[in-house]
Amino acid sequence: MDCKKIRDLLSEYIDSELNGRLSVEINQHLSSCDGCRQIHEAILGSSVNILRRSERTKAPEDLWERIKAGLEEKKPNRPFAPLFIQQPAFSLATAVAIIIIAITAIKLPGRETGVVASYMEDQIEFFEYLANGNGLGQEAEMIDLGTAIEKYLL
Amino acid sequence: MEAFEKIYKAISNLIYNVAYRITNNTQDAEEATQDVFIKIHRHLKEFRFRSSFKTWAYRIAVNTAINESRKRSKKTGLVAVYDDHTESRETVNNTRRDLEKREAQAAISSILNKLNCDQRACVVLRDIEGLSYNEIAETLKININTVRSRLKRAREKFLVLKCANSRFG
Repeated sequence: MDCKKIRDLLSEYIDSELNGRLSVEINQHLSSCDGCRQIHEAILGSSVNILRRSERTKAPEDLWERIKAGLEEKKPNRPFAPLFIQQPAFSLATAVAIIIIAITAIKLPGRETGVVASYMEDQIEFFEYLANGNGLGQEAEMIDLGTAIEKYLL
Repeated sequence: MEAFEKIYKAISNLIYNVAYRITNNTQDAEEATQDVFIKIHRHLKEFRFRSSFKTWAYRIAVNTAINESRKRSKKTGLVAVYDDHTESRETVNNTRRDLEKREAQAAISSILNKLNCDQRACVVLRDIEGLSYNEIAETLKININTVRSRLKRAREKFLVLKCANSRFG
């Protein structure tokens, strides 16, 4: 490999991002070529070593209190949905009402009417079943993400 | 909130350090960090473990810090100059150790100040946070060749400036 190619790869060599064979080749070249060795040392000296030895800055002590205050301030604003949709009982009732309105308002053409209507009836039955307190509550409690880390994060 | 405080304690210094190195000063870094944790809290349920939590947090931190930095340059029309973190947070005294610390801090600031936001993000993640090219690519959602070329260009820039300084300075 010539000097130009070696110099092209020096940044990756410094970061140990080259495969073993290339890395050995560059290593050998640097031990025998003064010009490339000087460039290698200059790259390390001009930035890499300075940044890698830098001390880590720490977050200010009171930052958590500020974040906590920010989170508590934002808590009451539930995202987007109108108030009545946020209440589970209302949301079920609303869903049932929307489906009933959709069935009565939309006139479907001949053959498809039967299939869609029976699908909609099934949906109504299902929503009524849920609205009577069946299903959802128990199911929601049973959802377990299963891993310790998920419990920790969520 | 207690569980979230544990997350904060585990990664706050990491987030703050990235934010401080990418933005130009402590005030922006604090605002960015605050913003990052509010975003993490809001989107925690969307985190699906497809990437590591650290990568996800780094991504939010880098993007938020870059936005903060751009907002400031837009507002002032200038790239803010790095402030001296050690001087603003600790009692200034003239012991040799403190002097060395401030000099090192100034050197880091002057290096990072010469880069644009994209290059700075790559350099911070590589040389300060120690991420591999793959991890940087995943964090910034860019191609690994872009990581490679941004780091190479940044180092060439430092080299040219060093040569110019030693020749004319």
